[in-house]
Amino acid sequence: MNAFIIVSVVTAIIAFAIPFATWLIGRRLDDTRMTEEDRRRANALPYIGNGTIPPERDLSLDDDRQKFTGVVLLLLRSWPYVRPQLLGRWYYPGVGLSDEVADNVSGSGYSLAYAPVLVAALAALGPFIGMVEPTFEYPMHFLYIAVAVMVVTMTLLGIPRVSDRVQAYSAILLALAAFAANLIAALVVDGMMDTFYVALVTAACLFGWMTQFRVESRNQRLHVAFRFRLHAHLAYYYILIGIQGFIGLAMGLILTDLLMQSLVQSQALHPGVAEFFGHPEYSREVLAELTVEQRHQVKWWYVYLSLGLWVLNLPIGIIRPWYHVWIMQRINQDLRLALVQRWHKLSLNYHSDHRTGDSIYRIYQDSAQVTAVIGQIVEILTNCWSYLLALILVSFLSPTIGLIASTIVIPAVFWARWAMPRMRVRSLVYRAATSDITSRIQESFAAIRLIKAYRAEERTQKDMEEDSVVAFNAAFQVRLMIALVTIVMFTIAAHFLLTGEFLMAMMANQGDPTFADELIAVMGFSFVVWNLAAFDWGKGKFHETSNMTRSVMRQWLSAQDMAMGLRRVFDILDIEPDIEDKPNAVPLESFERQIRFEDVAFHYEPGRPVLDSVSFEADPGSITAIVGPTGSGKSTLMGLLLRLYDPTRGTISIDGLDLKDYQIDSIRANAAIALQENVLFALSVRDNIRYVAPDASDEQIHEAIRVAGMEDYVDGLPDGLDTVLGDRGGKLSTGQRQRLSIARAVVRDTAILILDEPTAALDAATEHQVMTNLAEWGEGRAIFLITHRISTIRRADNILYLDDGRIVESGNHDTLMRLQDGRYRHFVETESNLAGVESI
Amino acid sequence: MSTTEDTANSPRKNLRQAESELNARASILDSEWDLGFIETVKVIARGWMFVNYFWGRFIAKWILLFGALMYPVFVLPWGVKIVIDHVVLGTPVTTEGYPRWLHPLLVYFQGLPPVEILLWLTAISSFLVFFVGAYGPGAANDTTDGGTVEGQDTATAQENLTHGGHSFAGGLWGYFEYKMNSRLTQSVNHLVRCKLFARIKSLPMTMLDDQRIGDSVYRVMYDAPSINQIFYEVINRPTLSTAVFVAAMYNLADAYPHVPEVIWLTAMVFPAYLLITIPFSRMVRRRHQASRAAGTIVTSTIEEGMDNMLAVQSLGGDKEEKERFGDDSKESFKRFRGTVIVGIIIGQATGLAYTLIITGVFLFIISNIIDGNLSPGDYGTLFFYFHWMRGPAQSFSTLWIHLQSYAAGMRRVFALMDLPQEEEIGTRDITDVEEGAEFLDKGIEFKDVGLVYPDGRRALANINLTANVGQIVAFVGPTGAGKTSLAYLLPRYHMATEGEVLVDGNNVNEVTMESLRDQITYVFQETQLFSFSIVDNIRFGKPDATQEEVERVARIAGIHDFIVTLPDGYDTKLGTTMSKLSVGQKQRISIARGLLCDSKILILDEPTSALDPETEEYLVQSLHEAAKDRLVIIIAHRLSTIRQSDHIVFLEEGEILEQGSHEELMEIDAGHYRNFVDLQTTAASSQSA
Repeated sequence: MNAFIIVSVVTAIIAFAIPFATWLIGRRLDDTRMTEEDRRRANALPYIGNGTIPPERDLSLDDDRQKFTGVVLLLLRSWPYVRPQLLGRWYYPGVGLSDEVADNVSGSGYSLAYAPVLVAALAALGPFIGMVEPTFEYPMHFLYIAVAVMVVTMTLLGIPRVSDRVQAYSAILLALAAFAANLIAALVVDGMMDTFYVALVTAACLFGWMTQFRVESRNQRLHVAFRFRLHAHLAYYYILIGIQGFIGLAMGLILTDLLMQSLVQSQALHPGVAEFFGHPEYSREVLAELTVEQRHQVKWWYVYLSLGLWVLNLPIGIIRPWYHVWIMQRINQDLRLALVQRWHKLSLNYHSDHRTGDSIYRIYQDSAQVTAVIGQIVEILTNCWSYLLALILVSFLSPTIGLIASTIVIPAVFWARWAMPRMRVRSLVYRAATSDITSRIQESFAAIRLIKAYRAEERTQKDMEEDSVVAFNAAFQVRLMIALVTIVMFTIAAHFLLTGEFLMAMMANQGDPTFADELIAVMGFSFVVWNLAAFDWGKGKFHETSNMTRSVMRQWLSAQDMAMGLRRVFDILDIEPDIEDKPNAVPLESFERQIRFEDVAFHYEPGRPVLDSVSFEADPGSITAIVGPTGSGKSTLMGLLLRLYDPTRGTISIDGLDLKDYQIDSIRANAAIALQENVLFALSVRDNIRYVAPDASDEQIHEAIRVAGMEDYVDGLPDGLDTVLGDRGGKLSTGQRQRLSIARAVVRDTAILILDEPTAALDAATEHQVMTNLAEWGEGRAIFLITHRISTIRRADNILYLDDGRIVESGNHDTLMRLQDGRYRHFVETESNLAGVESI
Repeated sequence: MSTTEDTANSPRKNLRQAESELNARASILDSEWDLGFIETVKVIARGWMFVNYFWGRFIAKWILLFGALMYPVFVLPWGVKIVIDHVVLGTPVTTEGYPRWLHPLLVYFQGLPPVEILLWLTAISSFLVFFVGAYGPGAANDTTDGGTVEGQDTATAQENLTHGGHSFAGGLWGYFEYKMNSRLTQSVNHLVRCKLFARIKSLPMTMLDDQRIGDSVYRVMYDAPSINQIFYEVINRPTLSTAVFVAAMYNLADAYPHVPEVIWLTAMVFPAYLLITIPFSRMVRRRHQASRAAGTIVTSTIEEGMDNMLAVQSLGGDKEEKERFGDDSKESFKRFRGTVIVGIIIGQATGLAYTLIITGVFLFIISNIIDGNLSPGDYGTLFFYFHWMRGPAQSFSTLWIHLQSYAAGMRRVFALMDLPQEEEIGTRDITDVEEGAEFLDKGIEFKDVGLVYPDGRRALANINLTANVGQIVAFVGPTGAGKTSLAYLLPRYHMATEGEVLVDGNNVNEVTMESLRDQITYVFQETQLFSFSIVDNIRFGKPDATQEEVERVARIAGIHDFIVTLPDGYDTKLGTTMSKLSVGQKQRISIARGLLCDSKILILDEPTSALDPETEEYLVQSLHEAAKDRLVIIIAHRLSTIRQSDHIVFLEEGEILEQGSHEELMEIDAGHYRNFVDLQTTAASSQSA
């Protein structure tokens, strides 16, 4: 009792000292001031209630698009991302590792024809040399049937000219049979050797899948080429699990036998175990009982063996969890990249309605669901299998109990039919609400200047808190749904258990004979009549069936949420980009002759033309200025040239070929643009300049800086070119940003240069210098200028005056100035009058 | 012979350097990222202080948790025992070997046929299933957990922390406990989230310029949930583990008073685990900080790329952007694996301790059995008690190491909360003016003002300037001259580091910010609009403005005619990239927004740069109208705009070189302003002349 008192008092003191000391320290840190505002926030959510979700952000059951098959299909759609991790890549000796994902089974002339022979030989050898019992009685027939299926399907896979469909079915069947055979060997059949036997057959199948050969004739001599499957990480991972399970099982059997028979009781050792320790004289065949001294000796063997087991497990124990994370992250990374890539391909029309926070949410939370798909499917299958197995076993004792255990499925199915659609709807609402709060936070910080300038802090805070409450309510409802479904499911299952236990207890009380007593005797149990052992065993199996049903229910419930997350990812991937390369598109190599707009029209929304009947040409070495009132379509015109949009009528051609026949990337690679809104990234000055020209040398960068007229500024930066800019180019003035984005366009050294109001924020002196530099640099290139500045416009070879989407005047400055009542002339005069220059 | 160079080359040092760089990239504001022991304790203690808002709910959770933990220990085993002993085996019912509280029931059962006992037990069990969701050990015992599937990096592993609840019971109890627990967790997170959001929002503009948006989003969404775990870790874990541990130990001491060694050996778990895990605590903190920092960087990259899709696409930068994202994402996955590796190492190290302790216990028990001091049946029972005690002991002794990962997230929350706020240096309202006088009668005045940025760059020096209501003042000068910085001093977006800025005779530092900014409207150079409707964009600064007022300012800004041609007119939603509007149109909407606020001072930062001359002329005329009872400050390059102003301030390299009216300044021979004007006019007129 002393030990009890001392230990309890000490732990109790520490247990209460921890929170108390933390509290004391916390108070001293002066963080204890409670504000009314915080108190309001702390009580903003209901204590236990559901809370409300505004109807416009809620969904009803009618919005549930996916049914059972829909969910299965969504889960299966993650296959393209899982595939590379499972199939790996081929390694060709002497050639190297292929970049392509390897074939499902075999292909390109390589064959695994040797494998069926190997598998069949091993399968036959087992019973032949007595490794496993050559009988076809329970439970060996299960094992042999599964192994036979493996041999047959492997043969089908090994025949080269079998149709793809048969191959696919064979592969699936083979996987299932191997899974079943291993499970039976490990759990149902006693002993180690059978497990080893099945593992060996499985390994032979895997070997065939991983190592293939091809016979080639080289210089009239036949030559055998091999190839090996590498990077099949998921396969390695599950092999690792198999090995770990096998070691655990083998050692566990030895240890249990050693402990229960020889140490706790004093039986002599199992002959195999005695052999294993190198003391055959301790075998049951030699001795009946161990002496006390011998048991003390055996006790140490036990210690050595369990410590040895720990050491043996150590590397796998370290690698396995890490490996799992690593594989799943690779799958997730591929999906994330697919999402980002698709977003980049989608036109600006799409993006104008898409919130940035939503992208963050989809890339993080929605795409992460893909990491659990494999695990979930494997687990559901394992559970279904274990359920069936337990059901069969319990039916041997009593078919009635078996019937009860099997009917759990009926209420479960009904309950699932009620719960799953609701779960899907709740999950979607929750994902949308959480994505909204993410967007809200992002948008608030992006607009922080305005919020401060317009005193909108409180409103922003209120909006954010409201969104946060809705997101919490929505998340709560999903989780409550999970809690409710599992609790109700347990309540149902528990009543089946109670009924079953009631019957079994009564049968045991009466000592009724068991059902398949002969079969049970074969299995090595003594349950001829219902006794305590039968009751315990039957209850155990019965509990297992109930547990498995509940687990499957829970996993399927999670799978709904996963599927909804994946749906939000695939919804994006399913949007077909409205601007895409034609199948036979050619790259735009260089621009040599002419850019031509012919009768081009464009509108964002039907009925509101932005551009209409625009025709003009531009040659290399020319400067084209695009002038006109705000909103007349100048930037859109340039957007069409970059194929950010496609014209709704007419054609744009470069060197005589329609823009649509070129690859989009190649067009953009040949045209550099400096934007009106100068977007810089939180990178160094150097990386911002070479954002789209990563290979630019320092020399080229310096040249670009010179052209953009910002040498003095860059020289004045603390780290020069390596100075990192803040978000969106933070601390730079607009003029500096503008010149930086000109430098970014110049450094790309492209044949087409578009400057969209490049000098609006520059003072006259700087502008003059930049324009002079550009004119000099632009020899041989086609330059397009959008601007209001007359000083800039005057330099142009061709001026397009745009009004309301049409070119109303075009020509050079002098020509246009000669037009009486010309629009351009009027434009110049207004500007000059404002500036106080007598222009006549 | 370990020199400094040696350590610099060791992988350990490199790892730390890499992590420092990550943290620096993630946020410039939060530079002190490494936590020592004392700081960790402080961070934890501060997190625990949030409990002050939740005592009621927290105690309720503690009681429910305690009940759900004790119920399986004290109630659950007996039903099974009665069934086995008295139904299956059919032995007569006695009260011996049962706890006292069960005796009345057992007395009632005495003499009943087994069927009836079984019926009674089934009925009781059925009730228990509904009430607590358990009637026996194992499969007949339910726990409640509403967790969803999570991903494999830190940001995606926060969802269950954010909303999580748990109950060791099922049935009504579990349902109720789950609900209140989940709501409690969410409430803590809501509080922390809102508080952090508010604090970041009210940081001074100079700091916010340095703060990446993605970092702020990450902290509010994914770092904030670290705090709520402290609630459960600091009090529930030690007290409840101790309760279970003591209960198990009591049972062992009661049944086997002569083998205290088992207790001593099990108690070894405490010091062993603690000693093994403590050296890892800094490692855990660092790996978690790095993982969060790397996550922040990905968030910023997504945010930047998606928010500037126009730029990315028109620059042809999608490949680069994808690569940039891919690299950052890979890095964040790698850093997450860093936390996983530490976890595995700690798991294996404590696993070794566990193996040694259990081996000790085994040797002790088995030797006693072999020597006949204990019976073979005692083996299972003693090990049952051992595991029963080991669980809570392990949970208790790994408390500290558990807290480290949360401390990493919490530090990131507190780091931003602790930054100096721009709020309230001032004490009085600026609009408190003397009787008979009107606000801004005294105008504005800059007295010897200078500004030096936190990084040491000088932006302004020796600024002396006065201006009054009714004037249009133009700030003119070459790019980077400090015009915007000067204008920022008035609404206190920047605080002058030297001299005084006076508005109506009040030093701007001494008045409340709200009253100051209510009187100043600033129209920014970069036109930024919100995704909501045009009308809401215009009345952003004055939400209660009427449609007439909105249309009036839209006309002044010259955008009304355009808006009415849109199918939805003023109610047109703009969307996030606003591709429907040209830059000039956006500029005019933001001017209208500025004009709508009836503040006394209106600052327009390059309002006309993207406007065509006709619109500009119209706008400048309108500004004269607006300037009658206001002070209008314009920052401009365009001569056409500048000429219209009453007072021109010419700046260069942060100093005022000349000021006066256009005519006055033009008279100065070789004056800077005159030079500036000449350059523009010659450029514009050389050919038309």
